[in-house]
Amino acid sequence: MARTILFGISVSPGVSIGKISFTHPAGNVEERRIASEETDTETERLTTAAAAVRKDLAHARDEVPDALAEHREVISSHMLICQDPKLLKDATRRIREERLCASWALEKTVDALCATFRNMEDPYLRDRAQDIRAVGLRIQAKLSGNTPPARDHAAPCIHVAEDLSPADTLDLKVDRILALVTAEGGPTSHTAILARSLRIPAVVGVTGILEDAHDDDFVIVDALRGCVYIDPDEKELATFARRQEDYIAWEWKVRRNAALPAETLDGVRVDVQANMETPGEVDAVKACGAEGVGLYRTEISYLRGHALPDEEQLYAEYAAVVRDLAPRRIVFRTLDVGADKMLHAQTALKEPNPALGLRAIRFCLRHQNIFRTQLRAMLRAGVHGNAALMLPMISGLGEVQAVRRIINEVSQELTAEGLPHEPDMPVGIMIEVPSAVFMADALARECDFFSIGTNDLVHYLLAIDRINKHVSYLHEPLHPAVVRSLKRIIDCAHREGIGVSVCGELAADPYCLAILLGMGVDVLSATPRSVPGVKHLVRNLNAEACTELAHSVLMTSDVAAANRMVTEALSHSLHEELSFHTTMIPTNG
Amino acid sequence: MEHNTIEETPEGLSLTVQVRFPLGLHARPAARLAQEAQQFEADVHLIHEDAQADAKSILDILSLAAAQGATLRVVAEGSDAREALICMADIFSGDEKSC
Repeated sequence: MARTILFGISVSPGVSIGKISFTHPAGNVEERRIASEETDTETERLTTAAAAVRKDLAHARDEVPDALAEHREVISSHMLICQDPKLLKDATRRIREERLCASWALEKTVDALCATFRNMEDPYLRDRAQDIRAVGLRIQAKLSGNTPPARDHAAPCIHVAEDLSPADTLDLKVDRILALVTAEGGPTSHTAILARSLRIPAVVGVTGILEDAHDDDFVIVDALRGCVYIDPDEKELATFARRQEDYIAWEWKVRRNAALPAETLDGVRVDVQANMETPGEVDAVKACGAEGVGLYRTEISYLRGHALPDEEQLYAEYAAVVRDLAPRRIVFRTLDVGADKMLHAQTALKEPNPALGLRAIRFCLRHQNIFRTQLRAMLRAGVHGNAALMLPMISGLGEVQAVRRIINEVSQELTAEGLPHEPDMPVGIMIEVPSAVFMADALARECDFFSIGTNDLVHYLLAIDRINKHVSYLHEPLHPAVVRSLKRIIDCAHREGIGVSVCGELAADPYCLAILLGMGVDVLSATPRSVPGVKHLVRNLNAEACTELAHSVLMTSDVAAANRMVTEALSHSLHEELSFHTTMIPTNG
Repeated sequence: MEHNTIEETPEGLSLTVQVRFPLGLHARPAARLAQEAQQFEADVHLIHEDAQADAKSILDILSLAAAQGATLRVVAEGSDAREALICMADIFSGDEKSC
């Protein structure tokens, strides 16, 4: 057995085996009171360390590949922070007046600055606390003499850090990273995005990694299951060495076959589509073999800048994507954010529970000027290809009818203004609120398709606060209440002759996928990276067997029994194929 | 474009400018201001409402949180105060693309 096995969230699949290198040596900050004659040397140490970090950053900036050009600006701002008079003056004052050693003085200054920024109203400025912290960590590392300069040229290794900033990820030489493991961060952290784009296995949110692992420890990173094995034994090493090879071979094969249709062994065809977040992903969507875009998230252009995007900006973005991907269908989800993110300066709504607050469609119906601008841009983009729009967080009929009325008005305005647009764009709704499950029969008559947001549906249905770690164990995708809801949603849709797509993580989970297939789902939408694997899975399943499996799972009221049924059934039909997919179902070996 | 005049005040030479950057005094203009201000010997400060920031500090400038349309006073004191003010005024009168 390995000395320790730690768990986190896999954000980029794969398997890696190697030695650990800590990006920021964990060591505690030196907290020492100094004598008056030391103040000059400590001040000198601080300014030298800051200047050295600035030089390192300048070096890192010059090495930024063009593909990551936006990182250059981040690094430039870090260079400025490292020479910032406010930062240095405050730290120097603490050395002289409070008689703190350089490290301690810097730590206190960084803490105070971060606190100031974190309390600002403007979300952009709040996020600058991260930059200050990142620069502070680098200067600390210089002060403690823990920077490993020779490492750059050393053998490839597994990089471990509390979290990684853009500059950190850049001075890791990309071809020498076997895997990334961080103690903090989630699926949208910088580490996750970088790892996915470079196809490096990565596990984030690994509690205990900073405490339990040491430099040069030998570890296995299983970024298919989200596990890190520290000091594995011979048997584990042999198992994972084989799995690593098999995974690479499997991924190569699956990608090569990405263009093949997703048709089950007994000839049932499913539409596999991709989820998209930025226009930059168009090429990835085309390359992964997706037959369309089942979910285009539109939030980024609202959150990136300081001002709200105007109609022309949105129209340009949407039209380009629709045109590039035609004749494939693109489903635009209307703005899905909470008031907490959108209205920072004007009306700071202090919502104690934003997940149940004024968000998504509720926010859009309250702030119709924002909503109408987006709808106009979407309807106009529709003339360039095959687009649909989808409404998030619908909880009842009234909301759908209200949106329909607004769409009609907007369409009439556009006609009056002589702007070409698609007045009859299909309108679908996300089913993620439990009340929508109960009302699915009536809702199906009011819209053109359903899309199941499985992550939120599971959270709302089982009353789990998604950021509360203490209740995350309740996240059971095959909980009988979830399974029955899925069945009801799909049946209600089919009874009215409309299609159902699934665009959450369940779509790429082999066990859940089999159940969804067995219930007759029409479209599966996953990240571009997962699409070839999902299509491959479908090609290895038998639709009739999935239908039987779904029936048995529907009959049980015990989640453990449901998990056992699916693992048993699929281990027969899929064998080792299962080990190449990430899953939320406990499989117990 | 109206031309701003440099006035002599007890705190030093002073100039009034308006924030025209579409995103307010954000990362890019703030970085440019700090970088340029550091080239001068003079002490340069930005004053926005009751808050005052060292123009050589990007952190200080950002913490002013000055939005588009805000009016600021730039005050400089030192041997090259006039040159520093002209340089700051140039940055404020440009659009963000030049930053």
